[in-house]
Order: sequence, then C-alpha cells, then structure tokens
Amino acid sequence: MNKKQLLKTGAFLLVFIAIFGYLSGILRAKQVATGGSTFVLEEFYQQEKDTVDVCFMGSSQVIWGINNMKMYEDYGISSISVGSGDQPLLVTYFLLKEVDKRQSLKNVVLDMSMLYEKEMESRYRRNIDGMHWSINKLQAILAHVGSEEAESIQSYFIDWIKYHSRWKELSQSDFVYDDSRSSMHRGSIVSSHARPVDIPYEKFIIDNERNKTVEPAEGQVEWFLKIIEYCDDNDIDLLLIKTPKSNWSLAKHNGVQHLADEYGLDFLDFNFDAMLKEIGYNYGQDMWDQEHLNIRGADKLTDYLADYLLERKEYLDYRTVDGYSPGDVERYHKDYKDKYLISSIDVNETFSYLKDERYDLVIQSTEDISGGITEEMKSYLADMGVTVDLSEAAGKNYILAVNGGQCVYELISEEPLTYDGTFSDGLTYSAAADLNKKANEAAIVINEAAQGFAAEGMNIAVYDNEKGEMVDLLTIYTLDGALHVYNR
Amino acid sequence: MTFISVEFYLLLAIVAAVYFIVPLKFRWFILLLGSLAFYVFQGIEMLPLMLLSSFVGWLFGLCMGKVYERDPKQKKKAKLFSGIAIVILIGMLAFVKSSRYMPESVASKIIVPIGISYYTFSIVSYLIDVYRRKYQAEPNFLKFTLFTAYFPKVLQGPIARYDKLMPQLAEGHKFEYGRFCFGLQLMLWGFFKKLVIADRLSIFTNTVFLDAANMSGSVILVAAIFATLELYCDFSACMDLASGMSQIFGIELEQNFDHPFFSKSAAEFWRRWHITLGAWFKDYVYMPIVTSPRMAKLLQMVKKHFGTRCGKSVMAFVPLSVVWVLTGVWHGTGRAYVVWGIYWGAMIIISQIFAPEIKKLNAFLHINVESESWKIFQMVRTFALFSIGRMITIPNSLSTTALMFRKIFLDFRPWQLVDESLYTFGLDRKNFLLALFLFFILWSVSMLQEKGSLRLRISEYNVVFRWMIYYIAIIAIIVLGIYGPGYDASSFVYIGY
Repeated sequence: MNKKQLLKTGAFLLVFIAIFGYLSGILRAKQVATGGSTFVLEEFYQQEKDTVDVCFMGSSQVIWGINNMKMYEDYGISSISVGSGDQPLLVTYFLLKEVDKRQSLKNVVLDMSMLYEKEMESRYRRNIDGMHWSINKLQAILAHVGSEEAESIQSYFIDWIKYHSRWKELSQSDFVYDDSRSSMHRGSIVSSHARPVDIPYEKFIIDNERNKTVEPAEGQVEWFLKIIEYCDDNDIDLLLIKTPKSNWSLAKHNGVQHLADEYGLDFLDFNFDAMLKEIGYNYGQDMWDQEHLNIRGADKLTDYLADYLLERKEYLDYRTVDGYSPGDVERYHKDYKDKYLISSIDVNETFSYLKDERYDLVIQSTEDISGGITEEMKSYLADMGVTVDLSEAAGKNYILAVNGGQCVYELISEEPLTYDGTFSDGLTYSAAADLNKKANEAAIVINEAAQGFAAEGMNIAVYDNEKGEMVDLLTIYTLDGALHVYNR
Repeated sequence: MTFISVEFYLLLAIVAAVYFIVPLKFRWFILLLGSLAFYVFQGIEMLPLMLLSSFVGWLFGLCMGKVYERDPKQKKKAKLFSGIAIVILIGMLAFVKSSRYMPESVASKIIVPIGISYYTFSIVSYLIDVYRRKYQAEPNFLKFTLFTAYFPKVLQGPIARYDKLMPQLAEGHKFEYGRFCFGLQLMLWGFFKKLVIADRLSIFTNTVFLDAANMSGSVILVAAIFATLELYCDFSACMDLASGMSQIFGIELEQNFDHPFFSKSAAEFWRRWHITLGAWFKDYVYMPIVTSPRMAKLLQMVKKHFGTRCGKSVMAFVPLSVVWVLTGVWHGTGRAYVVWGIYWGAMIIISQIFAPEIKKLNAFLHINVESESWKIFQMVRTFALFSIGRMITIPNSLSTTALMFRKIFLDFRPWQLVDESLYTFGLDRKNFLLALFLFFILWSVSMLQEKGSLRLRISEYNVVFRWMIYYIAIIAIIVLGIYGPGYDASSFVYIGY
C-alpha cells in the first residue's frame, strides 16, 4: 500500500468511526420513561465534581423513595440517587466506584432489596449501557460477561450488535436528550404515579411458611461484600436500609440483619410497624404501588434519614455555598406541587394547591355537594375571584373557569349548562354541567379528546398553561356526610 | 465459526496480514495453515476425516501419475486407482449423508465434516482429470490439502477444479490495493444479501413452514416466494463472501451464480444457479454417459427400431435422468430430494424432447417470443418453477408438500394478503414492507450487474458519491441486519452439504 492509499483508507475509516459512533448513540436504548436510568445517569454525570456527599444506591427503591432536592433544601445535604429498576449489586458496585471517582463520597446509603433478587440480563444492560466509557464500565462488562445469562461481550462494546433492530422504534428521545419533562431531580423522582395505595402495616413484613426460608441470591452477596470492602477502603460510611415494600419478609430482614451485624453496619428496615410510625407513614397515602413510596412517602423517609445522617456526621451545608446550584429548582417546585396535588386526599389541602398562576381550572358539577363545602374551600375560591357561593348551590348546575389563578367565567343555574372556553395558552375546550347526568356523560372535551371523570360530584380539570398539558382530573364527592377527593 | 462470526474475521485478518508479510513462495503455506485453523475451529474431530479424504485423493492421484510415467498407455491400471479412490471418497460421503437413517446410537457417533460434499466432488474431479491426463498429479500432499480445504470455499463451495484453483493457490500474490478494495466491496454485498435480506426472510418462512398445517394457501404461497429468494440470497451471499475474501489474496474463485432469476427456461436456470455443481455433473456424469460406448450402442439400437427422433429422446432422457437423480441425492438424502431431482429432470428432459412441439405451439398461439413481455413471462415462469421445487424440499416430507399444495388450491383465503395477516408471521409491518423494498434493491443491483461489473462502474464515480454508497451499504447492514443477541444468523442454509 502506498502513502496515498494508506491516507485514503485512514480517512475512510475515520469517517466511518465517526458515523458509527453517532449511530451507536442513536440506536442504544434510552431509558427515558418515568424513572428511566438514562436520566439518573446523565444527572449524575452532570453534577459538578466533588459536590456530592451522600449517594443513595440500589434499585428503584432509591429512585422513588428518596427526595434529594428536599435533602438539599431542608437540610443542606448534597445527595443524589444512582440506581435503576432491579439493579444488580454488581452494577451498583461499579457505579459506586464511578460516583466516588468524581465525588469523594462521605456516605453511601444502600437499599437492600436486590440481595434477594434473581439476576436478569436486562437489569445489567439498563445501567451498564448508559455508563460513560471508563475503566469502571470496562470492569463491569468484564465482570458480568462471564456469567451464564450474559449476552456476548461484543454486544457490550459495540452497542448496535444488540440495539440495531431498534431502527423501527426510534423517536425524538433517541436523537435529542431532553430531561425538561423528566420529573427526575438529582436521581430521585417526584413521582408522577403519586396515587395512594392501601397497604396495611401488617402486609409489609410477611412472616409465613412460604417466606420463612429465603436465601440471598448467590451472585448478589459477592458484590454486596465488595461494596462493603470498597467503602471500608475508601473511608465511606455505609448505611443499609430497606424502604417500605409490601412483599418484604421477616426472613429477608433477618438475612440482611445478619450480614449487617457481621460487618458492623447499621441497618434501618422501614417495613416494621415501629419504623413506619416513626417516619409518620400514612396508611393509604404514601405509596404509589405495592413496592414504591410516592413523593409524600419519600419526603417522610428523607426527613428521617436526614436527621439520622446529621446526628452522626457533619456535612457541608450546600445552601451556604456561593454559586452552588442543586439543579433546576423551579422545575422541581412545579413538579413537586403537581404531585402533591395529584396525591392529595384532603379537600382543603387540594384547594390550597389549586390557586396558582400556572393552573387553569375548569370546574363543573355532576352531583350536589353544596352541603359539604367548607369555609376554607370558599376562601380559596374567593382568592381566585370566584363570586358564586357554592354552599348555596344546592340542586343547581355550575361551571367555573379559572385561568392563571383568576376566575374568567362562572355560571350557576337550575338548567343544564354548557360552556366553550379557552385556556391561557389558547387551547379550546368545552364543558357541560348537569346534575342529572353521569360523570362520564358530562365530560370536559379538550382539543376533541374527552377527559372523563370517574365519579359524580364537583369535577375539576387542572391544566398546566406553561407545559400545555393536563395535570389532574379530580372529583370532590360526598361520602358519609363528608367531602372526599378522588384523583383519576 | 462461520462467515458471519467475529472470530472468523479475526482469523481472516491474521491470515491476510501474515500472508502479505511472508515471502511469496511461502504464502501458499500460510493459506494452508489458515485453512487448517478454520477447520479446527469448526470441530477438531472433523479434521482427520477431511485429511483422510485429501490423503486418498492425493495418494491415488500420485499412483496414477506414477503409472502414466512408466507407461502412458496404462489406462486400465490408472482407471483402477481412480476407481478405488472414488469409491472410497463417495462411500465416505454416502455414509455420512445417510447417517440420519441409522439408529440414534450409531448416528450420534458419526462425524459429518463441514463441506464434505464440496471437497469430495472437488477431489473426485481431480482424480478423473488426472486419469484423463488433463494435467499431472500433485506431488505435494500439503499443497493438495490446501486445494481440498481452502477455507473460503470449503463451507459452501464453489466446487473447485484443481487446474483452475491450484495454480492460484500455489502462486504467492502481491498485495494490490484495488483488488483488496474490490474484494471488500464484494463481501459487503454478500453481507447485505445474507444479513439484511436472507435472514429477514427466514423469520417469515420458518414461522410459516413450521406450522404449515395451520396456514392458509395464500400465506404458504408468499412463504414459498420468500423461501426462494431467501435461498438465493443466502447461498449467493456465501459465494460473494468466499469470492471477496479470495480476491483479497489475489485468488479468483469460479462464479457460482449468474443472476439465475433472469433465466427464461429451466435449462438456462441451471446454467446460472450453482454453476459449478452443474458443470461438475456435466463433465463427470453427463458427458461420460453420452460418450460411452454403451450409450452409443443403445442409441444405435433405438434409432434402428424407433427412428432418429426417438434416438434423440433417449439421448436426452438417459443421461439427464441420471444427472438429476444424483443432483437430488447430492442436495439431500430424503425421498423429497429424489422427487425434487426428478421434478427438475423431467422439466428439462421434456423441454428438450418436445422443443419442436413447443416452438410450433408458440407459433400457433402467435406468441412473439422476442417480445419483452414474453421474456418477462418466461422469467416469472422459471421463478415459479423454482419456488415449486422449494416447496418439495423445505419440509423434507412429501406429505407436508402435498398438504401445502392442497392448501394453495383449496384453502387459499386471498383476503389474508391484504388484511394485514401477513404481518403476524414473525415479521411486523415495518419489517415486511422493508423486505418488499429489499426485493426491489436486489432486482435493481442484479439488473445493473447484468450489464457489467458494478464495482468497476462505482469505482469510476467521484470519491464523495462512491464513499456515500459504501457507507450507506455498511450502515444498512449494521442497522437492518438480522444478528445479535436473540438472532442466529450463522446457520447458512447450504452448510449441511
């Protein structure tokens, strides 16, 4: 090969490598659904060097169960969560090294769910694939690919071997990273699934025959011990926790406790009655499914853990650090408020959230609740400029429209009502109120899509006029003489 | 290790690098080492059998050479040597191919060396050629083993002829940049046909044929068409890969496919499809029968009693019947393959014997045989005939073949062609439509190739356009190829021969 041919070949290969690198990035699956590990990892990589003292690690428990922004705003502790759904401890170990490489951690708080979980390939890929290329990623791949269920080593180094068939499902998120609507803040989610789920205390710790003998999964223990060793070698305090999870068992607790005792570690298991009461766990409001806390539950757990950490160590109060930014605080507060609104089951609390320039409301009646209207509700409505006294609206239909926190239309009548309105951003809707009709027959229609309600009562559609999307559809209804809130 | 595995290309890269470093006279030895390494990676237990075949061929060839050296007229002795060797080689081939009919306890112990059908035929052609004194016997066993086991062609052919391949193997070649690039480009096209087209179609065909009893006739018909194109793309892709990598070494393998679906008759089809197999049967079965004294006697007798026309028919029938039964058996040992061979033989024999009648019929029907529409009809007809043939061999069970035909004629359900049912047999809508688009790409490239070397034409374009074509091809293979975790793209269809 002469010089010219060599140069041509080199140029061809260079261009190919550039195209191929770009293509790999596009084809790789992005975990950008709620709780997506892509957001978790990218947020971690975006943190300024040496500005994080505490890292919550583990599975989805630490993504949903901790509120790191609250940790900062209320306590000044700079913490992040780095984990993903069903994340094996092998991955946690290498992520720990990755985090510590950039952050000089003081504490690691490790949720222990995964000690008892089987390993599955997809659980490894989720976060290993998202790691930026580094020695830790390389080591994670090499440590994993020897195992039976692992896919080929080539598919880890060359993403498109695994992901190339995604060509037919590519979307905008494959080309453009956009976390502006992610609800992820410092690795924890302000949960968009913030609906209360009834989990009685006694269901958390299962103590029956079937669950009496549960052994930790073999592969997981090995990496758990490596995590202990790493923290020990690098002077990082390791705290073990178990967030409330309704299928935890006494046997599992005992297994973790045994390891904690053996290695001199503290283990806080929030599945016991005493601990649940200690954090102020609200039966029926603080989980969004059988296994995960919602934002309310996360706040309570965060309060407890913050106190716990502060009692044992001093931390730099990052609120006092000039120029330090914990993240998109404004977006966090909006998310936070939305989710508290969605998860509210108290009428007065609900109304306290509704008055907001960001919210446009459409309120209509499908059942008479006038007898239950509280003074607080009236006060909140009055603040919004609503002049109609709904406590006097027995047997009457009404429609109220509030844009940007101010009433723009109100009508009360014994006749059925219809109204065609416009939200602050120009989006049109139509509403109907008729006490003789069922909730789903008197729906609000927004942009030709009917937004049905699930119960009869005072139906409120909450629209975010900045994002241009529905935030909530709720119904205030009467039961046993009292008003209740139902969020769809 | 197949042509689709990463390990193979690592081996190829190492062999190529060493090949072009060592002095010219030792380069054949590097190819031999590479070929042996490739064979060992397939399974070291296969190596002794392949070496045994090579040894038998070499030894008996050498014996014939010695016989002719002493007395060039000693044909009888030479015939004996070649006969013994051929019996041993064909016997080994027949034994391993018939292992599926043996009890499991016996069959499981039988090793079926990769490419045995191909290298056996190559060695047999060598022995017959030496017997015919077409060339001298190869004195060097290692070089002969290279001819037997040369790794680009050992898996799926082409069936190499000693006088065409050996000189190229033995002669060391210098690195040539243009030839290197051309070789890579041919391999690129091979990858495209294999990974993007053939393996995509196989998802559909496997799903349908595995459950043919529950499929409608329309779906089976679509699957038969797909199976035909799948086989072509799969097999010809392997040829392109073999030829492409050989070109890198400066070796030209014989062409094995010449756009067979542009054929207008069955006979033409088999001059364009698996060309080296057809040529082998022609040179070593057909011609010996046709020129044999026994055939001449038979011809004379038939002419005498039944006329010249009958004589010509016998002349066509006898050798072609033998050739096509053997062709069927070469492809597979089940009854289905024999029927398949008879099917093709019958078509070719009938078209030969009744050629005058067919011409008269065309004239009677005022068919303009020179028109483009007639030629297109002929191509479609040939394609259909091949697809019918595929339906005989795919299930390898005549009863399933009969069932499929019954379904086509009695349970067609044409609505399934348009009600999106076709997207439910392994290929979703996007993949199915992509497959149809790929047929268009295949046809377009084939049309361009019919007019001359496409690689040469592309090489004359400006660098930006040229590179754009290459990058699009590479990206298409990367993105659209069927491979990776969950896909097994390494099971070439013809590898069992």
